[in-house]
Amino acid sequence: MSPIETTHWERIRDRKPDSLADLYDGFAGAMFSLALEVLGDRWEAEEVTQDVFAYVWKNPKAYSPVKGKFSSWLLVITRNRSIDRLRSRKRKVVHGEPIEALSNRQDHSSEDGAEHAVRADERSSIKEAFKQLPQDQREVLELAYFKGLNHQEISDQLKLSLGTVKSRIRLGMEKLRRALSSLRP
Amino acid sequence: MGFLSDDEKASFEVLLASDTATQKMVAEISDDWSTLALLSNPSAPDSDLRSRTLMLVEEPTDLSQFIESKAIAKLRENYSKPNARYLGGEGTVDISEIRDGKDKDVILRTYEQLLGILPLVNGESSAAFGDFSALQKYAIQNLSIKEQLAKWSDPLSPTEDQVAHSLQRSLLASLPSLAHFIDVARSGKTNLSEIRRIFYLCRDQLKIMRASFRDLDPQRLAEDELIRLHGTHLLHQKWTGARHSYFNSQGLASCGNFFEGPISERCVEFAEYDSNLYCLANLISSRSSNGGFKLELIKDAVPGCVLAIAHAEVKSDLDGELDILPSSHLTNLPPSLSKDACLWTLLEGSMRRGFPHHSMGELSDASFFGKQRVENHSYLWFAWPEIENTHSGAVASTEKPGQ
Repeated sequence: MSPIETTHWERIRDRKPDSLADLYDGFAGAMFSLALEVLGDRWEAEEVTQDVFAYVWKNPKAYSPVKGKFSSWLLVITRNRSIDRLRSRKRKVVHGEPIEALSNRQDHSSEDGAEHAVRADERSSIKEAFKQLPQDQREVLELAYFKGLNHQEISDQLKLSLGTVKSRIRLGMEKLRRALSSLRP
Repeated sequence: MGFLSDDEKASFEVLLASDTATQKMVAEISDDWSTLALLSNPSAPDSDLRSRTLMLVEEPTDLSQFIESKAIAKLRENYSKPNARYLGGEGTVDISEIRDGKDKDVILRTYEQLLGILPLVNGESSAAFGDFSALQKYAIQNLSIKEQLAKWSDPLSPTEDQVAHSLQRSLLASLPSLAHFIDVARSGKTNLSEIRRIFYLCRDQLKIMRASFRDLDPQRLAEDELIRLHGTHLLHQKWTGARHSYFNSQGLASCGNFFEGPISERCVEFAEYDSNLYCLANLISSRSSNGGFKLELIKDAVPGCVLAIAHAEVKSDLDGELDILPSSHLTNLPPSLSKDACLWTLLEGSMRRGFPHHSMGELSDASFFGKQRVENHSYLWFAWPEIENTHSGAVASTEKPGQ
């Protein structure tokens, strides 16, 4: 992922000219892609993206470097807000039916896409690493991350023990972390 | 990936503020989360989102001259809340009360046509992802609403008749803008930003029509009548950087001061509020020197009241037209201003419902709504009773259900 770190945040905090434009150009694509993946609704994904930028602009001190990378924090907020919307929409998660895989939606408007926002090699590496995970680990990670289900809900939905859910998530995350460690400093 | 109870959250926050090991752990989890975000399919937001987002950094409008004007001082002196807050839904009529069969057909056909358009422009539609062909095909198969509207609205004239108000609200508030953008889509020369605009306008228009004719779609109207708080962010989202059209004029909206909080308690109330805002937007945008106009929602200027304001730079001759629109001046009205006078009388009707403890003369004299010139800017506004205590109703966050 391109290093959008504390300098970006400091520029926003200090109200430097073009700081929001620079942050947008560096990161809106990744935030929007995530919101769209979670919500499946372009207009809602745009609203979430805009809301997050508004929040950051109005409350720059909500972030602190002790919370980790600024870029990671932005994605955490984007994901949380998307999940909040998903939950408020009360969209049913289908019990007993095959779980939706990550979308293979074709976006006719994104030929020059959001790839500039994140390093393409990192994106393809994580996708490849994800594909290599056992199906049962992929499934729980997707439900937890993109559907916003907590451990108990996943356990109920997949009829697994809570311990199994937790261990599948932990194992899956460890493998992904290992796969990416060679790419990160 | 789990969820903490409130007590656990509080303890965790304390730990997070002071304990470096906890901070390190949170930072690592945050990084893990962002790693998973890379699994999303890459999609580019529309360039219009960038413009809308960058509007956030614009300096808030200085409204002090307007707020200190005599008109608003008068409102401050005289404003009193109704005993019971108006929740919308009055001023509705039965379709059978429309006397002219052609008018009835226009309402029914337009509603039906828009119900068909909504799924073609929602955020999951192919049009929202750049393929406009299904929308274009549908628009071509149906009559042009813009052409119908142009023919139909000629004989509109201001009146106090409720049935006429329901017709006029359905035809003159959000429909002119919507009809314009649908016509653009019909020609095949549309873009994502216009599709998004069609979606918001179409959703508003359907609600306005249901609130105007109680038997048009009783099932959906019942949903609209449920208690559901609507926040100002819903207006901010749809009006920021919105392209606007009112018959022959094109405009661009921006949002200035917007307080954060609830503004209406039911969809039917929100529909009426929306309709009032469209009336202001239509009146001001068609007179703006550069097409640009600004909407503001402020709460502190008059205690107990929310002020919705639309303003723009307007040349003095066009500003003069706005002075003659109130119904008290209707005897002198030039025919060219007939539609605009209808917009004004719709606003007057809504004010009467919102503040039934005042006569129209009192509302007008005390500036519950009105027009004010400050330097080369014209300001239009209306007051609405604020929501004091949020109650336990559901919150309309996305307005997605019950479109």
